[in-house]
Amino acid sequence: MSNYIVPLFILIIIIVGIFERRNVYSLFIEGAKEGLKTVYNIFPYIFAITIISGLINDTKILENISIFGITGNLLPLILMKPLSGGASTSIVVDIFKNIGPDTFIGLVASILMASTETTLYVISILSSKVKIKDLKIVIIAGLIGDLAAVISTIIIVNFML
Amino acid sequence: MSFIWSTFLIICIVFSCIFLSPQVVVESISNSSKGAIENIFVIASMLIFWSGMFNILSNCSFLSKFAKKVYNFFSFLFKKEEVSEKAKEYISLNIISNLMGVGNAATVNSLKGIEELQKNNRDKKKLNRSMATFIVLNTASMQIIPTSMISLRTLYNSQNPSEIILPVISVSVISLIVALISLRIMWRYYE
Repeated sequence: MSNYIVPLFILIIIIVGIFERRNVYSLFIEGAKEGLKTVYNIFPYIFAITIISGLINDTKILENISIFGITGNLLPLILMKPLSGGASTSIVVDIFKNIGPDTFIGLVASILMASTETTLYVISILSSKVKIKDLKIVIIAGLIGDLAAVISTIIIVNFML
Repeated sequence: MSFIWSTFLIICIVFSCIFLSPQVVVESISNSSKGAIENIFVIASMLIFWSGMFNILSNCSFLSKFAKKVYNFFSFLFKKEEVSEKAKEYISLNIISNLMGVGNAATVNSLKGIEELQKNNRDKKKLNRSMATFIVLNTASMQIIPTSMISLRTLYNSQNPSEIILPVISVSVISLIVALISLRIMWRYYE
């Protein structure tokens, strides 16, 4: 069912466009041009984030610390998810391979990965568009939300098992 | 952001120079740079496509009216005078594509939305409350069915790959509400 949503959505846009006698093709080109400009503008921000998430991953710095008994496997995921979707996916894959998706750690990883977003990445890209540098308040609010996700996930998984 | 970025960078470099070898840093940076270039191609391809599609959509009066109707459900989050008609449209399209789980489409609309909100912003160097709310909204996951996580779990032989659906929805809602409430509380002191 969910496979049909996106194609159907595109179909509706095109059909309504033709029905309202718009020049669908040139509107698409116009928008795509704007999209290309957007890519050009956000690239340096993506680049900067990729560099630090790569460094954190390669130095394995997170695997050497533990906070509140959350050691080894989960802490890298919790700290990485706000930065990078790709790096955190690879951490989840590691957990699934070595510990299994149906264990406590596997379930926490699945739920956390799916229920939070790449907070810092999103903030840096959105703020790049409007060139605002004072972002303390949204960063703190976003990270408090992520912390709430971690706590509630651990509570919920305790009930599930 | 600058603080977070530089702190991570310094910690990583010092850590690897002391405990590992400095070579790790150099290799890591060159690898991630390569990775970033590869990533941008993936992001660019879908971003350009959806940017084109949504340009058609926002030029169709029927669809943009529909989008504005959807906005009414979320209007309580924003300040009336800070949100223009065009911004309403992008905010609701952003929320719809987030709910459907089309991340790239959501990115396009979030960028357009924040741009429209900036036009009505009095102090261009500071976020206003609606902009901050919109950004925090986007830092939360709103996807209804976590399709990619379910397929990943299936791939690694989970006995019940979709048992996470309800927990994911409840955790997402909790974290979104907590984030929005803490934003509101901090906003009082910020202004």
